[in-house]
Amino acid sequence: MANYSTNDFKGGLKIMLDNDPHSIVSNEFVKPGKGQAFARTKVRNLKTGRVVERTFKSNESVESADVMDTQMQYLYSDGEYWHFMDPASYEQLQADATAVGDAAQWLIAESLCDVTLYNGQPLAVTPPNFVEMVITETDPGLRGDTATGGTKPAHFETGAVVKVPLFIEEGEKIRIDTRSGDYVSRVK
Amino acid sequence: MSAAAQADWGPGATLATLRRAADIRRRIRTHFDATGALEVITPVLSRSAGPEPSIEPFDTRATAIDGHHWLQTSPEFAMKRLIAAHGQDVWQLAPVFRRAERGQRHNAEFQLLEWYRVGCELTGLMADVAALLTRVVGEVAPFDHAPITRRYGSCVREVSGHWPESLGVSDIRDLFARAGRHFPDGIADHEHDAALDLLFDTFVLPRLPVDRPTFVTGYPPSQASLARCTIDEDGRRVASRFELYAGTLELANGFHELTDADEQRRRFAEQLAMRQAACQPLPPQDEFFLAALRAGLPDCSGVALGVDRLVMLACGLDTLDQAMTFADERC
Repeated sequence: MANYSTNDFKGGLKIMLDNDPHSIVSNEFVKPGKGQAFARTKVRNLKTGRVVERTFKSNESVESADVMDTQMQYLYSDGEYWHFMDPASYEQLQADATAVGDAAQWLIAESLCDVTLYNGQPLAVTPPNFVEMVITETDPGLRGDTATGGTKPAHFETGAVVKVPLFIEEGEKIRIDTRSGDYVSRVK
Repeated sequence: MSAAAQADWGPGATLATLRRAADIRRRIRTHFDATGALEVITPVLSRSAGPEPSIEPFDTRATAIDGHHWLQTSPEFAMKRLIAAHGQDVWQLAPVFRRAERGQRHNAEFQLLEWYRVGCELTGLMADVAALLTRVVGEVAPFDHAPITRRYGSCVREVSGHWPESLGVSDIRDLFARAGRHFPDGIADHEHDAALDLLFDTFVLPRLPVDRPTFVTGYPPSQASLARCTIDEDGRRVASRFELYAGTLELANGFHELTDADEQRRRFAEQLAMRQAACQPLPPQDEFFLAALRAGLPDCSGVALGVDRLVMLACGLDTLDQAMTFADERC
């Protein structure tokens, strides 16, 4: 496995710390004119998502993490695993609930997701920024009411619940921003 | 370098910043004209380099004709040779080069304002620094207030309960653990100064005032560099050295200069041994400088001030890249 020196540090670099893969969030070069140089970083644990401060003496060597972000097509879930396919090689991988996490509610067949692989195994799944899904259940619409700005919950097959405007009907397809979980627009 | 990066061919500094920088240099010249120091220029390229382990010089590729040369990390040796020769106050604004220093507040090449006052002790030089800052950037915070002076030892004692000389690396490690801060695994138990550097940066700097500059004086003797040592009011041996901070930003470093040639040679040897132990390059030591000390350097104090950082503060900028024409990534 390759090693990085603190001189290589930059945002997004994947390194091993305490046996877990981490991603560097920020890196600050700290050095008094007449003294020791340090790299003061914030790192995100890619397994837990936790961000912590780590300081390194300049030129300390850190092991690189075998972490790769790859685009894969979501296929289906068998209840225990979510199955993805590499659209180029047709190679399939299964991700467990820990890796998929909250992304599960935005996974619809054939959508392209960013799958983070650690030692070749899925570590995290990031859904597309926008998805289009059909509402399976919501209170009856108030036709013509486009002005009051009220919302109501709409339910989806994936288990997702999104606040939608009152005029939206059951069976309609809507566009959702998965980063915020917000309704964006109707899809005609 | 990618085509996209090269397409960003413009300078980091705006025209307004460049004008302010030019004005700062003009005012610096006015200060030395008014206070009687001679402007000098010394070579950037030299056959020797300073051995300080924490400052890494760039070396040039040797050819048979030229021999191996080094880019200066500071003009201090050449300027002290001038003082030994002529006994005159001298100043210069010089480009200096330090390897592996890159960040928002660091650039490998930067402009150092270096000057010396003959027959002057540290407090006299600190007053001169304060006067220069008032003249050059006095209308801008924090330079619109007179600087305060804090002792290094007292600052460390405030945050740790102990004088720096009685704090071991393991004590400092415990202090970080209690505060929930991370302490690098790479600091070994004998690296007392590295641990103190991090302690100072992590716990002391955030407590320095932001509305006025701070002189920190009385550094540990192990961090004396080219300063002489003295006994402070608590009977502790300290280096006759100051650092000037604007908030958490280090701006200048000053010494009551060591004039003892034997002591200087001993410190060089000690620093070269540290370099050897850490597998760092071993530049030849400056024998001209040591000979000048032996011939007799008058009692003097000297200071080096980072002018790019001063421009950055005067213009309210966050990064050196915005204060310089073409910082590291642009050249």
